[in-house]
Amino acid sequence: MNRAFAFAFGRCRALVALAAFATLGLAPVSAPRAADFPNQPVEMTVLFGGSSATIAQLLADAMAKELGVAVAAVSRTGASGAVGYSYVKSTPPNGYNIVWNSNSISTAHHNGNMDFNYAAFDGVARVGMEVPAMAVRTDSGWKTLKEFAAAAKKQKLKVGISGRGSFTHLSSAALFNKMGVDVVYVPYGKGKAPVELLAGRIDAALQWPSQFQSHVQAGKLRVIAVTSAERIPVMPDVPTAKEQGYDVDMVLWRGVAAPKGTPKQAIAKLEQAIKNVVDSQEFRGHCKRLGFEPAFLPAAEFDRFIAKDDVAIAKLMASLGLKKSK
Amino acid sequence: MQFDRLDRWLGPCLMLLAVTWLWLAYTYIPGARSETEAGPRAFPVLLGFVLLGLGAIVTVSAFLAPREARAEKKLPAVMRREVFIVAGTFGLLMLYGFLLERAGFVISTPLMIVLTMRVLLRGMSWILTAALAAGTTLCCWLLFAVLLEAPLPRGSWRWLFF
Amino acid sequence: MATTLGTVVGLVIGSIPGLTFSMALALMLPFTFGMQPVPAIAMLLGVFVGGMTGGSVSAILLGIPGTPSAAATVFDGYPMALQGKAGQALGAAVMASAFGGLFSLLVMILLLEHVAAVAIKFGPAEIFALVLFGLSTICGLAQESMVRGLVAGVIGLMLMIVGLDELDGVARLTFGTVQLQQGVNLLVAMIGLFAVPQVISAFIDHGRAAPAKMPENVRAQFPSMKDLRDRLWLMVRCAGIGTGIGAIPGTGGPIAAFLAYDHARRFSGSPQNFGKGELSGVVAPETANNAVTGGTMIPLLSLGIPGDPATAVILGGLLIHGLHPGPMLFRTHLGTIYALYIAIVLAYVVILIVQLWGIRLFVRVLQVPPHLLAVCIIVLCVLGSYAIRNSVFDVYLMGIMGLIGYLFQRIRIPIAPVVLGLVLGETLEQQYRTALILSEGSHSIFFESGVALVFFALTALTVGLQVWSASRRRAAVQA
Repeated sequence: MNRAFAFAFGRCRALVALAAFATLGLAPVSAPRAADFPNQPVEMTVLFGGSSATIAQLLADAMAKELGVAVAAVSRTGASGAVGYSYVKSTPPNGYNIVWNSNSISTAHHNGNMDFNYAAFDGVARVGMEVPAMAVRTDSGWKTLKEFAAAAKKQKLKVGISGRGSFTHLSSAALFNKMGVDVVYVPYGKGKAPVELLAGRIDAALQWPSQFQSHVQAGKLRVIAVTSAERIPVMPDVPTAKEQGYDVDMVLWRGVAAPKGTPKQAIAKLEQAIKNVVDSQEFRGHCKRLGFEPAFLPAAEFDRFIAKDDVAIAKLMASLGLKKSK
Repeated sequence: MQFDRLDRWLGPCLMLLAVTWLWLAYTYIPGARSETEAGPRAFPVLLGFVLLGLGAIVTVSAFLAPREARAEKKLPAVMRREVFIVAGTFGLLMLYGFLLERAGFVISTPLMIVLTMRVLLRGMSWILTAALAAGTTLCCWLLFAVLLEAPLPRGSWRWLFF
Repeated sequence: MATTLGTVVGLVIGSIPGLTFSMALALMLPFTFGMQPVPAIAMLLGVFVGGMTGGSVSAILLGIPGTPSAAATVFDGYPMALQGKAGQALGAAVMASAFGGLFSLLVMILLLEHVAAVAIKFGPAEIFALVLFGLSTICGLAQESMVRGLVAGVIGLMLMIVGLDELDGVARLTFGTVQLQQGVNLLVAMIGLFAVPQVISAFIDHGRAAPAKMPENVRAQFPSMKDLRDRLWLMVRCAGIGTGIGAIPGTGGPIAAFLAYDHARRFSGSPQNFGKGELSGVVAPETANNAVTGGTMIPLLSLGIPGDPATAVILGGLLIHGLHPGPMLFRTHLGTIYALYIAIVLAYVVILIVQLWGIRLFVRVLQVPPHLLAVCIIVLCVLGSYAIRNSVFDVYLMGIMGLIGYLFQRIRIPIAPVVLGLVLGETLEQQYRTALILSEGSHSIFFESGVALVFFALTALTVGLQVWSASRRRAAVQA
């Protein structure tokens, strides 16, 4: 009961906020000065649905409490993120428009679907990472990557991914290149790969750990590797590919960025708010349940990190024939 | 206009559309990556050929059909007023979208309603127009912005208000 | 309490064209973070079933589907409203929805394991065959000419090609623009195709000397119990269709509704009445699309697989409360699961109360002069299409689809097959291509599966029957 009242009350507060919002739209608005940032609602553009959007909402809610203004997570999905990136790039760089970004900034650009790259944005902070995991059926008998590689050399195996050029495709390609095996990539949309694996139509799947978890507990599937440099807390027993002798480090990072030219003070305030959120126990708890790993990086380091990552992705995509130059 | 006369136009138009589509598909969509895949172009091309075939059927049957058999099926004539309203509605929709992005919801909605009432539906009283414009704007704002918290466009023409 | 709130929000959002329950779920999700698991999930489920039911309200009253799943309801629901039978149509829709929803819940409770085991057998080849069968219903939706129906269907399929191809990440026919890459959104296209032609005709009629005749005496007349009892068997079959299709990941509500509609028409004693205001044409799709809600919960709870964007959000809600769907959930959290079952039943009770009371209000909408209503509809459609993806591009797209819709109406190309093409296009193509990748290019994958063969046979049968009856009709005309 209480919760429901709290909900209704939340709505009332939102009403007041939005009334203010509407007057702002009508009344003369002085140019937002960086010093008293933020004094208006902040809009965070979200590029994808699913668990990424859930985390974005959690982050937006918590940031609103830190900043003292509303932070709205607004979804602008489509075209592998290109639609949302283009929108945010076109907004005035004042700190009130930010984007929930990820490696998709590099993949969308190198795919030839977006004619600008990460340089159009200023990083605010990295929030965390997701690590692809590779699963096989328990009855296949494969327990390590070595055993999988041996089988794959005898016969072409089928590996389920989320779509060509998607991050799961890139990670598996990086992994199998190192393993020296050639596999058939079967692209599935909308998280269907685990069922296809269960049904036996494919031999392995590279997806996100939370998708496999229940099946692993039930003993149907076995996760044989994760593609990060270190083991992940959600699946502490699963060895990394590196431990098994294949040197790959592929993680999907997520963070917040603002259009190029956003005032330094605004970025610093947002960065501090995000840091506080990521450090909070509550946010960490939610992330753990969603299979997301908080990994804060401040703005300057985040920018360097993205630049480095972009080079690696470009190289990988070129080797796969996925890179298009425009 | 008569039904079969319409088909004599429709058939070739469909075929032209299909040929254009096929040309676009072959020019702009890359083919399959390897021989064992259908690739992103297979379906568009298939659809193009199906439409071409259907266009040919429409054309042929329109020219072959005995006139008397279909003569009773008449299409209503196109009126000048109709053209005006269709073009007007379409134009207003486009204008509304354009203004929504720039002037924001609160300004463009009443403007749009006033334009519709005064230009498309001539002779509506100003009182009714004003009431409807204010009422609809308020209701939509309450519904979308307050109840559902869906962000309505605020517009980028802030400089208008300085 | 949480369920009630969720259900009402779902009903409201579902009934507004452009605001779907998937969006409503995403909006409500943050509110559930701080709640206890059971009320939180119950609220989300309430939004889901409420939204699915609410979609029928605008479909019947305004002729615009509130959600894509309600598109098939427009075909007969809107004509009924025009005949002054809006109360009957709405009443039947609500009861059918509740029946479909509860039926699927029952199936879920009793047969969860079995249905999940069958659903898992549906790979790309089987789903392709199923969707192809769905496409064969174009013949039934083409009103006067088969060729015109097919033309419409192909154009619908073509529209879905535009945009970023999900499997290969290749932009198709976007001419280098980012906006076109997001493709044609199903609901945006539906709003344009259904609403704009109506608005235009309302404007045109306004100028005519004789004002359009208002349906007099719009009373909320409910369907009689007999009407529903006569259709009980139909409802059972449609609920079965809905549950089954819902259980197969990657299909979903719109497909189920279209199949059920066609099923009802085909097995009806008077198929010629369909599209003109036949009650069965409302009952069938509404039963099926609500049965989908229970159906999609099967793979979600037992395998952790979200079948559509709506269940993907519910999955997020489950995860955040530490409930990992899958086989283990039934061993570790059985109590929670039973609480969720009860929540669904409760949601339908709320739906019945709210809707049956609300119908009296809803039908008042028809008393507004059509040209004034049309002005409001324009605003609502523009805002709705904007809100789907927060994109002005969608407003322009809606306008263009509207123009196409009106043009088609004038040159007698039916709209329904265009919508069917839009609904099925993406699934049809993707499943076909994925199947071929799986089989490494060999088409034998489609003929090795018994399930796929059954659906191919059904498709051939449907098309064959249609051609046969069409040629017989032609012979009769010429004789």
